[in-house]
Amino acid sequence: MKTADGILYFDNAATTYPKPESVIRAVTYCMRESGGNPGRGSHTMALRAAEEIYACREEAASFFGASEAEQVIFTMNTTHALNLALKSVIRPGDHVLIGSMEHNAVLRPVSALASLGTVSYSVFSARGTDAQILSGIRAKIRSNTRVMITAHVPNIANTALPIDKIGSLCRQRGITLIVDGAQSAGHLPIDVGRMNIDMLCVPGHKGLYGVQGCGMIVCGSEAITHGRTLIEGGSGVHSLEAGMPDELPERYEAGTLPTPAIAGLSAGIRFVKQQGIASLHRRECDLWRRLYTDLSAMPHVRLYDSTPGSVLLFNIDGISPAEVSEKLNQRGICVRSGYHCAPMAHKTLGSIDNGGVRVSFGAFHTERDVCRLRDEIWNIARQ
Amino acid sequence: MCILTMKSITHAIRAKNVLEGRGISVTIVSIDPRLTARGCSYGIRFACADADRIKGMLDAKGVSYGVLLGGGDHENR
Repeated sequence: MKTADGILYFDNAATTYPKPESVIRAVTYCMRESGGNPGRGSHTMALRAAEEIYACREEAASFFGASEAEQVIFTMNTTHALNLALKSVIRPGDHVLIGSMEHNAVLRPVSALASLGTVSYSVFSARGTDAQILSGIRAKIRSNTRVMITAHVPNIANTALPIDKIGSLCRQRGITLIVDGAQSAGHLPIDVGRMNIDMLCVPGHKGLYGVQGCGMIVCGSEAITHGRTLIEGGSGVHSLEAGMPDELPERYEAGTLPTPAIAGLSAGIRFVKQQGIASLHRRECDLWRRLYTDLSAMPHVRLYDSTPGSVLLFNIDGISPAEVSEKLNQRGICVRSGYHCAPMAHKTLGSIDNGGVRVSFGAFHTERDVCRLRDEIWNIARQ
Repeated sequence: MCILTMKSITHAIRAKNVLEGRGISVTIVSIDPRLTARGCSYGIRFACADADRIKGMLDAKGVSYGVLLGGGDHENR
């Protein structure tokens, strides 16, 4: 899928592009017809906006296996969702478990709490067989381990953690499980109830094909129900009280929500449902295999992960990732180089020295797009 | 008309959807802050004759609600 001026976009793990026409229409319609402030008053336009928001809660709850719309809490993005989820439940003296492939959106909040001396944390290996990963987790659990916060799928590799098995283990041990679904939402089936996920944190603008500006916590339990708030302010209810309301989701949604982005997210989820997660994933894997096979045959190209999926990390010997990315950009191809805000993952994969170049696929790519990308990588590698 | 107070706009919309799915039309309204100790809040307005039936339907679907304000119009602030 190219832009009007021929740019080929392969950075869908950062944000999907292009957006489905249905999403663009939903955002535009919302801005034209539902432009009130949701939950602020009961005039027609405020109620239309509130109903847009509620419709998305229902759509997301159904999509991710939550039983009620109130279990969907809107946030600015996944980072906000992860911070809120963690800090709402963590208490002084708690021990936290994170995986070895985490994004900084997980590492930094945990590290910040640890630097204050309020919590401690350990890292389990997120690589290996399911049995090895689970064994590693069991070995790291302490008597005061209260929370596990981990990525379902990392942002530079495609190996999914066995979240259902981890969820069962956490439930048995009384550990709150917070899952970073930034790279798995819309790519893999997720059911917070069946997988024993207490809080699933997801973006609207990646695999769910919404626009930037909103993320979500989808609650699979009542872990967050009476938790600590991250920000406080107007909620549209109980305005004579100094404290935030107790009720979900308003307790954690101080300030005005981005109604157009949320309307777009509803349409994005419907798009993914119509396409089918399995179908979208299979297509991404097919494109991945095509590129992986061709890059494997190039002598100066280094690859890091052999699991098919939506992202492919590579390097070209003797050329920095930034230079490769720049050269591709000059040829009209957008990829992302560097550490991808995930130094832990790069360290685990062995690419920490220079980072890497990440290609990430989306719903609108064709095999021809991949062939053009492959040809340009080849042209750069042979220079 | 009667008003049943709701915890939030989210709960009010959920109640409205549940009831409309059963053929009962209600209107979401703001509650006159003078009638509540906690400030702004929402409710659903309907014919008082339907109050027991509505509460039963909401109970059956697990939709929590507050108090029933009978008669009068509390909609506008």
